[in-house]
Order: sequence, then structure tokens, then C-alpha cells
Amino acid sequence: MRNVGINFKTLLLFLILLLGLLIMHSPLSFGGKLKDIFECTGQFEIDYDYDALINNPITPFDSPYEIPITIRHKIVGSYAEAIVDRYNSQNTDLFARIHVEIIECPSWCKASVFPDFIVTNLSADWSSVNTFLYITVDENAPAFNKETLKIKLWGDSIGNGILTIPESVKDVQILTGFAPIIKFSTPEGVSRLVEPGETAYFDVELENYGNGKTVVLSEAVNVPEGWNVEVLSSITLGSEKFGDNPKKTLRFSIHPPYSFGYHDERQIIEYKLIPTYFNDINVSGEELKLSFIVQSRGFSTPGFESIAIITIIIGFVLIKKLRSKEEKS
Amino acid sequence: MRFTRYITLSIIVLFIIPSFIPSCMAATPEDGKDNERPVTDLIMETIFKMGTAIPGVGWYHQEFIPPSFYKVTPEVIDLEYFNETVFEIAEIWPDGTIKKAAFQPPDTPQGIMERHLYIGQTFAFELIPPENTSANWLAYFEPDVIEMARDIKEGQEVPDLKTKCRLYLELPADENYPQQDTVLQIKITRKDISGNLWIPPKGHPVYGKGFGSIMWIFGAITVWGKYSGTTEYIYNNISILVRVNKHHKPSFIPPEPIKINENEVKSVPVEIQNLGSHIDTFNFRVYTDLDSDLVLSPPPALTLKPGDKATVSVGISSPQILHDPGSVHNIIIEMYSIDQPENIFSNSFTVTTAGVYISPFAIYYLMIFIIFIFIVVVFYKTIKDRLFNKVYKKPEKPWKITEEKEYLEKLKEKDKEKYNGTLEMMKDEYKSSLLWYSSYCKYLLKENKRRKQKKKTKKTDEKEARNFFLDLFKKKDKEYKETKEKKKKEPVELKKSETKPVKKEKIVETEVLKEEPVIKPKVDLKAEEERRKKERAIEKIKKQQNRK
Repeated sequence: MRNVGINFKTLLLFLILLLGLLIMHSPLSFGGKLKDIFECTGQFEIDYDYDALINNPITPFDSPYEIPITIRHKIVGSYAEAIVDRYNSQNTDLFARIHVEIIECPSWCKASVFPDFIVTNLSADWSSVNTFLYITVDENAPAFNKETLKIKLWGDSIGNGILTIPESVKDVQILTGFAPIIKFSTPEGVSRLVEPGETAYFDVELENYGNGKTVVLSEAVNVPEGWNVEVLSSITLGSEKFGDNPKKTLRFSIHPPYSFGYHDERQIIEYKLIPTYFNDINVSGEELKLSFIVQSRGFSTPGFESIAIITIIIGFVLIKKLRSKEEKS
Repeated sequence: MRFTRYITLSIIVLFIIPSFIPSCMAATPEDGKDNERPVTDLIMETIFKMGTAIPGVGWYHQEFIPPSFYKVTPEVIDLEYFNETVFEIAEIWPDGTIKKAAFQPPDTPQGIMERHLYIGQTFAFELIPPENTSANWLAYFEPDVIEMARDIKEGQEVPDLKTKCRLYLELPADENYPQQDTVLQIKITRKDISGNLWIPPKGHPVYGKGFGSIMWIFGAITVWGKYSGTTEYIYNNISILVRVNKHHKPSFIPPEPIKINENEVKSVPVEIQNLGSHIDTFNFRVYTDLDSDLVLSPPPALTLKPGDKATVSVGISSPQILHDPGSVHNIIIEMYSIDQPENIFSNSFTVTTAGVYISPFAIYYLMIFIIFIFIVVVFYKTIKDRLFNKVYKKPEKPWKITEEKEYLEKLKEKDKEKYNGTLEMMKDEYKSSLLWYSSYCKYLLKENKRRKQKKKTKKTDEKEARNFFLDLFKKKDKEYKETKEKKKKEPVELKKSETKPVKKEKIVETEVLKEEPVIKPKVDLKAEEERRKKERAIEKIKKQQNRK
């Protein structure tokens, strides 16, 4: 080798160096043992204000509900601090890249996280980043029901696999609000012609399309003088969401004025109905209106007509008898 | 030789030792005991730092294709049907600032590197419609493709790496599957076209340097050479929560024109369909022409699921007009969702009122009046008959008298014509007798009344006379008393003289009453009646004889 002018030892050293570099670059260096030694993983924790959710439930059809979520993360491993220091100190463009995804959500709920891809500095101690969970729920969400959304967090592998951030699934509990939706139907119409002394009955079928057991409060408004109205002050409707019967019939009774003489009066009787939550009457929906036309037409007797008729008959019989007696005498 | 030995030792230390001490590295130092960490940890950390510091080796740890981070503004989309909703998508740096749609300046290391790594880089945006929807989502990106500019002239303004998305949503074609809130996916495709990555770019610190170039080639062989001259597609999906606002759209199917009579109450059915996007509750208002007297009752609040139909009733009560030849009223129904009362939908239908209306009040009171008149007439007639009967008995119908009846029956059997004539004559006779009876009774009653009147007048005259005398006596008595007082004579005589004329007066009065003639008409009238009967009988016989 000396004859060709190349120092064999120098060449050997160069080859060894080259081999070493190649080994160093290879992910399978030392059968993966070196990589295993330096390998670090990420850990996640999430925080959100659950009390705020309890105090302000997510109501169907409302604007998207925003829940700030704090993601806390750290890198753990035998040499985490050294690796993190190294990656952060050098211009390596290596950051923790955290993905957030909603993997489980009730069918009546739509949710998204934004930002769902967060970049932040690597840290061997707990550090936090913020994201937001946006939720809307529809009318099928059972009222005041606690449900859980599952959020998956994971990170991109950094440093050619030395730093891995595995998947972590976290729960976010939500509380749904009350959305009263009541359907009315008046199959027999909204007008009646009755006689004085007669009562106009209106049977209104109620059906609860809302998301919870509902108490419908009913009240007549502006009842004309002399008219009397009767209606149940409250009726409870079950909810299909909880397997109850959502249908019931509410009877409205209207009594026109009844006094001796002829009557021809017509009035519009108005009612207001307020749907409220079964367990908390203060949680109520929009006020709904209901009105009926009642016409009272006819003659109303004084009330003692039967006695008068009997008296007349008796009087007539007596006079007849007296006359016949007179004639005989 | 020594140098060679040192090099060999170094390699052994660097690469061989770690291979047989992995187990001792697995021990994790306890918190707060860094100072007590084993020396091996420090050695390994030093190895790691040295390894990443070696030129070329550091690239091993680096990310060759860095990901892109995007920002959406706003984060949640509030969308309304048929309305344009705009949001922006931008690529950002890790610190949150928006990237520019151009490579870094060519005179900077980053610019040199970027230009070398990428021949071109583009960003394309695409909407992924939500699953299980029949709604038509339309998204227009402006621009839909962004190309990174390579050659930026001095002073040229570089736009941000962002796009504007105009989003439209049409109503679902399938009314049974309404579109509600959803999570919308925007697919962003980054296209990286790489250049020749086997050699370092011009201007790069390692360019033209022997060892540096060799290291670059090592890096290319082991890490990035595979990307040289290739086109890479990097996909990113952005999820955006889209809140689809309720679209309120009721549909009316008004009834055919209706005719109602005066003072009639009717429930008019109106069919409603919810063509909106969500379950909706509608309230109603009903009104008509201002000068109309119709009384209207709106239907109750109605809740319908999307696509559902229902029939509601509008209560109509027609006015009470005596005669309406036919008035056309336009009934306007206003309908609004309770969630959006300002958005009113209206429709109308026609009602014709016609007919005659007589108030039952009038009929009722007219009947009462007629009954009253009837009662008065009956009462008057009864009283009159009774009065007449008291004065004189009402003549009997001749053909009802037993004898006459028998006679007539016989006559009817014998001679029908004669019978008719006789009956006719009897009727005439009866009429005549009734006339007589009526006039006679009236006369008698009148006479009686006159006498009573006369008697009353007489009584009044007597009373006046008596009063005259009483006054006179009182006057005289007064004069006498005055005289007596003057003369102081006996008062007893005066008293007697005072009472005497009164007694006389009373006697006179009774005498006058007794002398009053008492009419006894019944006795005289009977005789008179008998006489008239006889006369009529004679006349009748005479007539019969004359006929014969």
C-alpha cells in the first residue's frame, strides 16, 4: 500500500469515520438501541371550566358554544431535558406539533376544535397552549343531560423518531339546555256557536317536540265582562327523548253570559301558554298565543220557568174545576 | 500512529460503548436529584449533543418537509341560507403571523435554501361537502390556488398567503332531511416541486467546500435525496363548525273563496307547510279591510317539522247587517316564526258576506208584542162578553136550540131546499139578533153610565150646596160668637143653632139617594125579548106563507 502512495492507516480511519457517520444517520443504528436510549415521549392534560358549563348549559339552536381548552403537555424520557434543550437551542425548526381531534360526539351535537393543529416549543416541564372547542346542539339533545365528548390529542414525531408524542384521549363533559317546542292543533276549529247557558269546549291537542319534560302554563287574558273561562292552569307533557308520552289534550271551556232575555254576543277569548321545564319553572320558552271565537245566540230563560209552568198548569186545572162547579150549581 | 490510536479510541467511545450499556441508561433520575445523576447520563447527553452538532449529523434530526399551519377567520361560521358567508384561510408561521405568498428574499440564507429546495410551491383549496346531506353547498375560493412567488421585484407588495372563501348554502333538496349545523372540511393541498437536492445550492455555506459538500452528499443519500426532482403533495384538512341559522319559510295554501251568511260563525281551514330548514313554531295575525265588521280569530301557534303540513283554522264571524247584497272581504294572514318575529310572511284569501239578517232581537220582541196584543184583545172580548151577558143574555143560535134542531133535521130529510132556506133564514135572523143584542147592550150600558154620571153630578151639586150652607153657618156662627163675646150672652143656644143645620142636611142627602131610580133592565128586557121573538116568529111564518 505504501507503494501506491496512500497511507493505509489514514484510509482505514477515513473509512471507519464514514461508517460511523452512516451508522449515526441510520435509524437502525446499533440495532435501534441508541435510538431507544434517547427516545422521549409526550404527555397531555387538558383543562376547561366545567363550572361555567354547568351554570350555562348548551341550548339547542343557540349560537355556537365556545369552551376554552387549555392543553398542557411535556416531554418525558431519560434524556428529555437534554434533548429538549438541544432542539430548542439550535436552529433546528423543531417544535412540538400537537393535533387535536374530536373522535366521539353525540349525534345531536356538532363540535369542532380550532386551532386543531398547534405548534409550540418543546418542554420537559408542563407547558400549556390554548385551543377552543365549539359546540352546537340540536333539538334532539335531551335537556339537562350530561354527555361526554372524546378528544384525541397527539403530536408529530420529531427528530426522526427520537421524540414521539403518542395519542391521548381526553373527555370533555357538556351539559345541554332546555328547548321547549310545543305543537298545538285544533282539529275542531277555533270558533263555536252556542246558546246562552251552554258551554263552548275547545279541545286542543298538545304535542311536545322539545327536548325535555315540559309543563305548559295556561292562562286566559282579557276575559270579557260576564264571560267565564276555565282551563287547567298547567299540564305536563312528557318527552319522547326520555320515552314518555309527549301528547295530551287540553280543554278550554268558555261560558257565555247567562241572564234572562235574548242574547247575541260574540267574543274572542285569548289565552297565553308558556312552556316551562318540568323541574324548574323558571326555565321557560317563548309565550304562545291561542284564541277562540265564541258566539252566544239564543234566549235564556229566567231560571224559574219550570216552577212557572207547573204553577200555570195547576192554576188552569183549578179554574177549570171551579167553573165546572159553578156550572153544576 | 498516536493520532490513529486516538481516532480509533474516539470511535470506540462514541459508537461501541453505548451499544453495551443501554440497560443502565433506562434508569430515570428522580426529580430534584439532578446532581446525583449517574455519570453515564452526562456522557450520553454529551454524546447526543455532540452527535447533533456534527455537521450533517444534525440534519438527521431535522424535518425535511415541515408542515403548514393554518388559521381560519372566523373560527366558527354563522351561515344563513342563500346568504353569502365569507371566511379567510391563511397559512401562518409558528408565532401566528401570516405567511407571505412568496419565498424569502433571494439574498438571505432562507431564501437561497427555499429556492433550491422548491422549484415551485402551490396551495389549492377545496371544500369537502358534509356527509349525509342533501343540501347544496357551494364554496368559491378567491383565489382557489396560490402559487409562491419566486421572483419578487424590489418594492413589489407581496400578498399574504391566504384565500377568501365565499360560502353559500341552498335548501336541502330532500325536505325530510333538513340541513342543520355541521362541521365543514376544507382540504388544502400543498404541492412541493423539489429541485436537485443532491448538491448544495449556490450561496449555501457548504457550497464549494470539500468536507461540507461531502457532508451534504451524505445527507442527501441518507435523508433528502429521495425528494430530489419529485413532486410532493401535502394535505391538510381544516374543520370548521358551521352553524346553519334557522331558515324560516312557511307556505300557505289559502282556501278557495268562501261565502258566509250574515251573522254566521265559521272556521276556515288554511293549510300551512314548513319549507324552512328547521323545526319551527309560527304565530299568526289575521286582519281584514279596515272598514270591515268581520270578527276574526287567528289560528293558534303552530309547530311544524321541516316539510310537515298542517291545517289551521281561522275563525270568522260575519257582521250583523240587515241586507248585504254581497261584500268581498280580503282576509290577510300574517305568519312569523317566534324566533324571528320581524320576518313576516303573509298571504290572503277572500270571504264574501251576503244575505239578509233580521235580528232575532227584533223577531223576539215583535212576537212578544203580538202575544201582548192578542192577550189584550182576548181579554177585552172576554170582559165585553161578560159585561153584555150581565146586561142581557146573548142570543142563542136558532139552529142550536133543541126544538129548532129537531125541526131542521126533519126538514133536511123531507126537503133539502127548504132546509137550506130555513137555515139561511135562521142565520140571518141570528145575525140580526146579534146586531140588535150588541146595539141594545151598548145602549143600556151607555144609559147606565149616563145615569151614573148624572148621579155623580147630582152628588157633586149636593155636596157643593152642603158646603155652601156649612160655610154660611160657620160664618153666621162666627158672627154670633163675636156678638156674644161682645154682649156676653149664653153660649149654649148658639151651639144648638150651629149643629141643627147639619142634621138637616144629612137627612136631605139620604132622601135624595133613596129617591134615585133603580134600573132593573133584566125584567123589562126579557119581556121585550119575548115580544121581539114573537114578532120574528110571525114574520117568519108570513114569509113562509108568501113563498108557498
